[in-house]
Amino acid sequence: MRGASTRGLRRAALLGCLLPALCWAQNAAELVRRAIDAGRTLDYDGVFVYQRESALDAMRLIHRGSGGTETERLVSLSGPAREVLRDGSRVTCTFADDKAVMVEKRQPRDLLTFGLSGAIEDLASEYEFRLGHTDRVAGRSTRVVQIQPKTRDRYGYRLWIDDATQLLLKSVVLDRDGRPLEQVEFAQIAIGGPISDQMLEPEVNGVDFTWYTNEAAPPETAAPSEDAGDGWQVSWLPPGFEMHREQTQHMATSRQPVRHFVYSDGLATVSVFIEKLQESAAPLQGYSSLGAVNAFSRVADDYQITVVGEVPQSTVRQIAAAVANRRAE
Amino acid sequence: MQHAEEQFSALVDDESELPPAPLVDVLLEDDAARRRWSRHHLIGEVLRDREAIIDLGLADRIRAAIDAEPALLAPTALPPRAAPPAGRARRPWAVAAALAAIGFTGLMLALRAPAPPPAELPLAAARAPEAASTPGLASAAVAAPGASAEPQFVRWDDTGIPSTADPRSVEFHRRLNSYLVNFNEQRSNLGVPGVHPYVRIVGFEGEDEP
Repeated sequence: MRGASTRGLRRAALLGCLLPALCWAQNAAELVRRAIDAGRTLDYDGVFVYQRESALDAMRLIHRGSGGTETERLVSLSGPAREVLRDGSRVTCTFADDKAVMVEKRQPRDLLTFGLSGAIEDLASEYEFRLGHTDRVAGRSTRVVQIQPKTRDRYGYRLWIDDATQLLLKSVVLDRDGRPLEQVEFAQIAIGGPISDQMLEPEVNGVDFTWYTNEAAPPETAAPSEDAGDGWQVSWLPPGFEMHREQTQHMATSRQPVRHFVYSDGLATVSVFIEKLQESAAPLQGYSSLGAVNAFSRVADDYQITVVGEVPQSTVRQIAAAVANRRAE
Repeated sequence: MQHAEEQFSALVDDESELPPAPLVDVLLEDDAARRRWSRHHLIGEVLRDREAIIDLGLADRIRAAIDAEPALLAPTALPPRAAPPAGRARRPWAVAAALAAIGFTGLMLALRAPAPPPAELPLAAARAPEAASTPGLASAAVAAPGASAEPQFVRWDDTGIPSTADPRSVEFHRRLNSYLVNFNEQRSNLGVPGVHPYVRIVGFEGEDEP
């Protein structure tokens, strides 16, 4: 009887220890979800620094999300004068250094359904979410969320989320040893203030620039062909990764149809590209990387296979090795 | 200078098919030209690749529009902007470039300093043993056996620019850029927290710039 009582006490003590930790993890994941929503729906105007490897750039981001549609203007503050203006139906890129403006139609995004691609419970099975310390970013009080992968086949994240608005003010992608790969940090930001139409007008009027647009173009007539990579599949992915998109598209360089699979575990994204090798094209094989993004290419059955993802080198390589043609089996 | 500009645009547009190596040498002989080369590719890749992501068939429509009317496609929905002079018209491919330089430069750097493959999957070494034993080649970028009778190696010069000796290496690079741009936009569409998709585009500076 006494032993049973002791075991009960121990269980209660264990639960007492675990439950707050579980709640904190849940709170941390929920906070990340709110941060993504806030980034889409709030109005804000801020200056941030983007750092990767040895590169450092300052930019201004003006965003209007109230009203159900997003409009934003991204302006370079260092280096060549460039701007990107996005609204519900169009992206306008202005490149003063090239004296070029590019206008492109885009697909409107529903803000209400946009957010983390996986459920919090699913994310929690692959990542450990922890609420960290408080910190100041851009003069504002933030809470740090640490997202640690449970396996070494993906990267971690550290996010600084504004206490008052849940807007993401700083983010770092961390490698498997906790070293930063990429970082974005606001230095100054005004949240909730009115964003006028004038603030979203490009500074450069582009009068003397060359303009390009796809808005008056005729409808697409292309159709997938036999060489579009049909029959290929990915037989292995790290745990938690699910397919989010499968499509055939045309690549710019070869005009050859390319099969494109998109996978995500809710945080990390991996793309698998498969295309028929052309005699005029140099086959790709090996690694490439940019900041937190890695790629691995190989050739199989005269098809070029390339895996690109915000995951470690060994992971993109393993996925590439698992791409096989069902018809050849 | 104007002639050089046209040649440059034509080179990026693939209008000149595979240009002779001396022409490429001239066009890419200095830092400014190389930067412009990167930017042209960057804009092009974004212009061309986003169609795939949002599935609007942009590239095909632009191609069709070019065939129908090679002159400038002036914007119609932005009245405050004056239409550019006809003389400045270039094919979208030329401007377009690669906002993908995100990939262009990064890939070059990676190819100059490849990481060793993981021990558990010695796939690259098994498929391309020539890479390790051929001096001056980037072991991270080698041709796959079976693609042709003689494996074709992608060569890079000291600055990481694809060698002009093999024009196919330029295409090699552009293809990687296409993949990388597509990936970035998909990542953005999935709502993953982190880097804004256009930050890399606006912030791009070639690593070989002074």
